[in-house]
Amino acid sequence: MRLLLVEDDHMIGESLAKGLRDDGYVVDWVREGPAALAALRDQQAAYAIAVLDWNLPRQDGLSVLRTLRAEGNTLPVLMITARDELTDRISGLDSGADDYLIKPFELGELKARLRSLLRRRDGRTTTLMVHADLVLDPVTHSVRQGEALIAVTPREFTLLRALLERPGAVLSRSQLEERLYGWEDSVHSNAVEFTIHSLRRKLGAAAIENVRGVGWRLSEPS
Amino acid sequence: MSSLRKRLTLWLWAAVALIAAISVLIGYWQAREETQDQLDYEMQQVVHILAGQSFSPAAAAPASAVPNISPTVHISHDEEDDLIVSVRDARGNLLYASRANRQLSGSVLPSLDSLGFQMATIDGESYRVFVAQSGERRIEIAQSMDVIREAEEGIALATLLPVLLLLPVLGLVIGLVIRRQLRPLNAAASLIASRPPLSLELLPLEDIPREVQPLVAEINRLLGRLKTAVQREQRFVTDAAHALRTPLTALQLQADVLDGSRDPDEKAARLAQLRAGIRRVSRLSEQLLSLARSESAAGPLTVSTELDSALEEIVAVHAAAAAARQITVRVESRSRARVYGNARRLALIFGNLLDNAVRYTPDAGKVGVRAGVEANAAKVEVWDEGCGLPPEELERVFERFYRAPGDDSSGNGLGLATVEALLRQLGGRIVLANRVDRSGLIATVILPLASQLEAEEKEMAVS
Repeated sequence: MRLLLVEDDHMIGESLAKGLRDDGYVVDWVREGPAALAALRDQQAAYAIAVLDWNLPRQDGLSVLRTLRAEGNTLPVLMITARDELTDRISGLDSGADDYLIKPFELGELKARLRSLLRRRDGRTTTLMVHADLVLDPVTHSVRQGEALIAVTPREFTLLRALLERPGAVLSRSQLEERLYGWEDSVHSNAVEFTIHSLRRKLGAAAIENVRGVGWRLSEPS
Repeated sequence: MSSLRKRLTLWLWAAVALIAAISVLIGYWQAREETQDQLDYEMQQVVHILAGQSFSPAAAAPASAVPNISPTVHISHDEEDDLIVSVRDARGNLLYASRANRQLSGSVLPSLDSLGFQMATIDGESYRVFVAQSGERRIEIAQSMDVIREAEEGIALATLLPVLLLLPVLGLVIGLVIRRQLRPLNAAASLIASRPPLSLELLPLEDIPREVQPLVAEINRLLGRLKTAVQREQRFVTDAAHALRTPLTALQLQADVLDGSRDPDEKAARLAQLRAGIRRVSRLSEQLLSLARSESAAGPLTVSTELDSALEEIVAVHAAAAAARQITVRVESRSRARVYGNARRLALIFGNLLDNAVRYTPDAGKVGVRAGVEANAAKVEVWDEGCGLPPEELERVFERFYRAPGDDSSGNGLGLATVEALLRQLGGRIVLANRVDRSGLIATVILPLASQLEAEEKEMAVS
C-alpha cells in the first residue's frame, strides 16, 4: 500500500514515515508543496492515500489539494495541521480533504483514520479484508486462512493487501512493484515473483493465480 | 471624606451660612442704630412737648418732695417705654416728675450738668438720658437700657430667626441640586461598573460633563494602551501554543514509533530521535521565554555595556559548540564602544546570531564577528559560510515562527524575531545580506552608541 507523506518538519516527517512503514505502508515523503503536487500527478506512483500537511513551504497543502481536486484526482487525502479553528477545519474539508487531524496527534489515531479512509474508498464495511477463506486484518497485521494463523513478512503482507483491495482484479508486476516499493527502495527484477512464491508456499499454490502475460490475482473459491 | 458630593454640599452650605451670619450681623447693627435713633427721637419729642407745658406753682412746693403730677400734663407713651421725666425750674425746683420716676429712690432723676444725650448709672442701672434747657426749665428724660436692650433683642431675633430656620432647608436644597447635577458622574460610574470584568472597550464621551471629560479621555487612552498590550500578549500566547504543536507532535510520534520497534538497534536509533525531539522542545521553551522577556523589557535600556568584551564573552560561549564541528569562531575587529543594554540582552542578541551562523556553517568552516563604529553608531557584523538565504527570504525570516523552506535544522523560527525585538527596544536594527565573495550570510547589527572608550578615558584623565 503506497502512501504519499507531505510534511515539511523533519522530525515529524521522519517519525511518521517510520511509523507508517512499520504498519506496512510504502511511504514516499516529500517536504514542499510543488514536489507534493508533482508526486500526486504521477499516475505511475499509484498512491493509495496521501497524508498532507497544511503548512508547507512554497505552496501550502490547501492549495495543493485544491489543484489536485480541480484536476479530478479522487485520491483519499488526510490533512494534518496545527490549525484547530473551526473555519480552518471547514475550509480544509471543503477544499477536498477526506479527513482532518489536528497536531499533536497520536500515530495510532492517524493509522486508524487511514484505515477508515481506505475502507471507505474500497466500499468495505469492516476493516478486515476478506476473500474466500482468507482474512487480512490491517490493524493487527495478521493473516488467517480458515482457522490457521499465517505468519507473513511485511512485504508479503503488503502484497497480499494489494491483491485483497479488489479481489479478482489482476495486478501487473509493475503495479505490484509500485505498491511494494517507495522511491528509496531499490527493486530487484524478480522481487515480486519471489514474494508471490513465498506467499504461495504459505497459503497454498492455488491461493494466488498467475494470469499469463498480465499479472496475478487471488483465486476464486472453488 | 472623599465624596465630592458631600464635600460640595458641606462647603457650599458653610459658605452660605457664613454669608448669612455676616448679613444678619450687619442687619442687626443697622437695626440697633435705627432703634437708638428712634428712641432718641422719641425722647426729643417728649422734651419738645414738655417745653411748651405750663406747670402749676403749687407743684413746686419745696415741702413736697414728690410733686404731683399735674393733670394738665399728659405724655402719651407705651408703658414699657418707661420714660422717666423730670422738669425743674432755674433754681432746681422740681416742677414735674413722671410717675415712673417714683420708682427711683429719691423719686427724681439726679440733676445732670451737661446737656444732650448721655449715659448715666442710677441706682446701679444703666440709663440713657437726654438733658435739655428750655428757657428757664431744665428737662431731663431717661430711659432704662433694659428697655433698649429688649428692643434690640427683639430686632436681632426677628432678623436671625428666618435665617436660622432656612439654613437646614438650604442645606437640603444644595444637597439635592448637587446630587442632581452629579448624576452624569454616577451614570458614568455605573456604566463602568456594569462592564464585563475584562472588557477593554472605550468609554463613550457623549453624556460625560465637560469637566470630567479629560479624566474619561485619559482612562480611554489607558484602556487603549492596555488593549494593545493584552492583544500582544494574547497573540504571543496563541503563537507560542501553535509553535509548541509541531515539536510536541514530533515528540508524540517519536514516542509512538519507539513503542513500535522491536529491533534493539532500531530502538536505540529511535530513542536518539526522541531525545533530539525533547531537546528541540526545551530549546523552543527557552526561546519563547527570551522572546517573552524581550516583549516585556529584558533588563534596563539605560545601562550601557562595553561591546568588545561582551562580544568576546559570547563568542567564547559559542566557540565550544562550534569546535565540536571544527568550526572556528573569532572576533576580527574591535569597536572600543559602549552600547546601551545590559550584558544579558547583548548575549541574547549576539548569541542567537552566532547560534545561527554556527548552525548553518558546514563542518570545519569559519564564523566571524566584526565590530566597529560607523556614522556615530556601533556596527557589528556576524558572518558565516552557510548557504545564505534566497533574496525573498531575507526579510521574512524575521517573522515569528517563520522558517525558510528547506531548513532542516531544529530551529523554530523564533531566534531572529527575538533578536529584532530586543534590538528595536534599544533603538537598533538588524539587516541580513548574502555574502558576495562566497556563499554565506552576513547579519549586520546597528546599535546606538552610548559612548566611545577614548572619550571616556579622557574624562577619567581629567577627573
